[in-house]
Amino acid sequence: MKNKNAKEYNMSSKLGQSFRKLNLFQKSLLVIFLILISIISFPIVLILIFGLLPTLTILFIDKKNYDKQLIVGCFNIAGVFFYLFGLLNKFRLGEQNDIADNIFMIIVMLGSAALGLLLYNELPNLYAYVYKLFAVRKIDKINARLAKLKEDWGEEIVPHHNSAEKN
Amino acid sequence: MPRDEEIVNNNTESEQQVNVVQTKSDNQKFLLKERFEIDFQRPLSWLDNNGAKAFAVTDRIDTSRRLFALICCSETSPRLSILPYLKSMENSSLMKLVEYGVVTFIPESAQKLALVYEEPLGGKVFDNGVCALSIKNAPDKFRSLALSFMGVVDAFKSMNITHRAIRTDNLYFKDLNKSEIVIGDCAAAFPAFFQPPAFEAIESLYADKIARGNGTDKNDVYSAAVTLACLVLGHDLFPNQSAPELLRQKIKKGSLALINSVEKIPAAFNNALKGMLCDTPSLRWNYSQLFSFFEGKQVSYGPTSAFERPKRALNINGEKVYMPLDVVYMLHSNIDEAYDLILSGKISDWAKNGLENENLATKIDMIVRQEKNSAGNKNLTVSRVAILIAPLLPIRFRDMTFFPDGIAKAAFVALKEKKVLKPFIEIFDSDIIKLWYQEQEHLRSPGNITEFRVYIVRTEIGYGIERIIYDFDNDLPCISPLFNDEIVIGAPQVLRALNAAFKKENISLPPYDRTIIAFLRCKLGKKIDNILSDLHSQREENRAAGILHLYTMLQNKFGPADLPNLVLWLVNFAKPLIRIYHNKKYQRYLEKELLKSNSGKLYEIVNLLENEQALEKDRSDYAEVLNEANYLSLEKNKIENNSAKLDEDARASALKLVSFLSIFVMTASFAYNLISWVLH
Repeated sequence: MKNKNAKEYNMSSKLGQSFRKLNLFQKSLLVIFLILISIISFPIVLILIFGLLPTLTILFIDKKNYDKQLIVGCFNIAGVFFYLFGLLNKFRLGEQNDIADNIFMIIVMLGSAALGLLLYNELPNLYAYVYKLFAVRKIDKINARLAKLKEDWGEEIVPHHNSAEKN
Repeated sequence: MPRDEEIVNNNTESEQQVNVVQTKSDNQKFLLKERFEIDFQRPLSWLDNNGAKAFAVTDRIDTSRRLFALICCSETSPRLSILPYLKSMENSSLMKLVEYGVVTFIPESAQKLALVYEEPLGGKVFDNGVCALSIKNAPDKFRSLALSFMGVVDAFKSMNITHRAIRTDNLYFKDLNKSEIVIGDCAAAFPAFFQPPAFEAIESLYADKIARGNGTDKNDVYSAAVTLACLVLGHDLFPNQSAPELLRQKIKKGSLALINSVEKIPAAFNNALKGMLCDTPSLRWNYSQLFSFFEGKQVSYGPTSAFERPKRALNINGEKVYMPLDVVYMLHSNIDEAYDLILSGKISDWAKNGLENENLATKIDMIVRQEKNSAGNKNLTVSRVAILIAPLLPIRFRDMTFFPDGIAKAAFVALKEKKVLKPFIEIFDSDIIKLWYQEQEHLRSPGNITEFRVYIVRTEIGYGIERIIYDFDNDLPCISPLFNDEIVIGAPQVLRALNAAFKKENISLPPYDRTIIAFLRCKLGKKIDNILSDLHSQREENRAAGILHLYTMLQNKFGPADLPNLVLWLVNFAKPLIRIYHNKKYQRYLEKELLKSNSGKLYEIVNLLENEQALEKDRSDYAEVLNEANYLSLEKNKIENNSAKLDEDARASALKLVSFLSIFVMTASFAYNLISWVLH
């Protein structure tokens, strides 16, 4: 995990270094390009910024929890896709206002992220609980069988090398 | 002494003869071997003898036959080994033993040995010390009686046994005419135990009466001679003198001279008695010498005194002593001084210069050398030297004086009366008995004498002093406290006695003890050695299996067919044997089945407990179950001890699942929306 982080840190620092290596013209050209792109696809950028707000938040506040980023991010994007593809057919400036107005779409985008977060938080607990439940049932079955063996063959049939010794 | 195997065979035969098939009849009567009815309401006190009580007997087959039974006392013990010989013996001068067997002595409700004899019709020869017969003036009668007595002694000698109870109060008139005299019982008590001091030779008189041993025919010749002297004189001799006093006088004067000093024996009888009363046993006359004498042939006599006076004296405890017997007496009376004298070499000097016996002096010197090289035992050293000085005398050790063939009887009484056994252990752990036999000219040491030390050293059951007692002496019955009042004279009676003596409060005790096992080992021989090793085991089940096999073998061989009490006892004792099976259900089944077994047959218990098929199945099932239990325990441990790791693993797995799910949902959403967009 540490290596991974270090790698990404190196990558970002490399990007930063690359950006710094550019001359002023190149930097200006890049910024202008990006602004232009943003203006041209403003509704999409706006939707992405607005729709992916939960994912961006997690990216900022929980930088090293990649599982959480992945799960919440994937669910969030899945929700955003519903609106993003719909936008492609009626792409024009001012469309973003409709998005802001469509509360259902906001619920879908943010709700999908919430579902991802919920699954991330609760499914492992549920899974561990179920796993434990199975283990307890298995121990009960073993105990029942051992008790039967003891009854039929005496106490000495069960070896005493287990938890008692550890305790 | 017969060899081990012979003893077992002899015993088995005699025990089969003893086969006690009695039926308790009504009132005070007991039927022995379904023929001889002993009536305990008709005592015949004039026939009481050797500590035994006499009662009238009716022969159910020949009712005209006059019989009586001697019920042996429990003070000593009957001489079991000579009973078959006595029964087979036909001698007109010996009271005929008709039958013998174990009976219930109804007045005391105890098991005793009964000896059934033909009743002498003419009464006792001596009544209150006075003779009813006068032979003073009848040399022919004397001759006839002397030869008949010696004939009895000779008959005993031919069977390698001795009588040891020839005395005046044991003589009876066989018929109403009082023409024939018979010698009475000799088997009801230890040999010579009831002999008055006058009737015992010097060497025998020196021993404790309990340990006089079987002796030799020479002892019987001496007793017969004193009896003849009494018959000649018409009264008992020295009736009120104590044994030590009489012993001293006999040593001092010689036996015949002592009798003559009281009352002169007529010359017609004196010479015959001189030969028979010789104080040197090897020179004492036998039957053929006496017969030759009566035939007028020249027969040599031994010295009149036991020992010739040595030239030099030995100073012990301030007293000058000359005679070897006196020296031995003084040595034993002053052990500390005697020990110093031995170590200083004075005893050796006296043997060399006083007795002029170089050989004896060398032997004593050898003992002194051995003693100086080891931390010795004063009593043992003095005993050894005393044996060398006077080999004819019995052995004296601490407070006991005994002949080796009488020591087992003394130990038996000590064991029976729960006395201290330490002196006996010291004796058997030493070489004095072996040394005594080595010094005898006419006696051979028993073959098993070298094993005494082994028996004493081994503390396991079946060894120890009990083993020596029964191995060395075939006369002795088994005296286990488990038998209560039951008398056990051979291996066949052991089970019967245990069955009869069983009490419910004793059920927790083992149905055997050291005495029983030692007794059975001696009677049954080496074939039960493997059972002994089972009984030595620390494991209860091995001991239970051992005793069960032993008793089953006894029941199969000797019976009786029905032993309900012993079965109950053994069922309780054999419970650990159930544990050789691992399966608890089967154990409970066996317990139930054992409790049901009331047939009285021991082999049924063995068959039930040692079923080969069941054992094999139990073993294989147990092995399988053991594997299963091990596997299950390991699984359980794994789950219990790794719960934290499992929790972590579960969470990791869940995260993986959610991650895959999220990617899938994203891809599915993308695909769905893309398709929808394309279609639009």
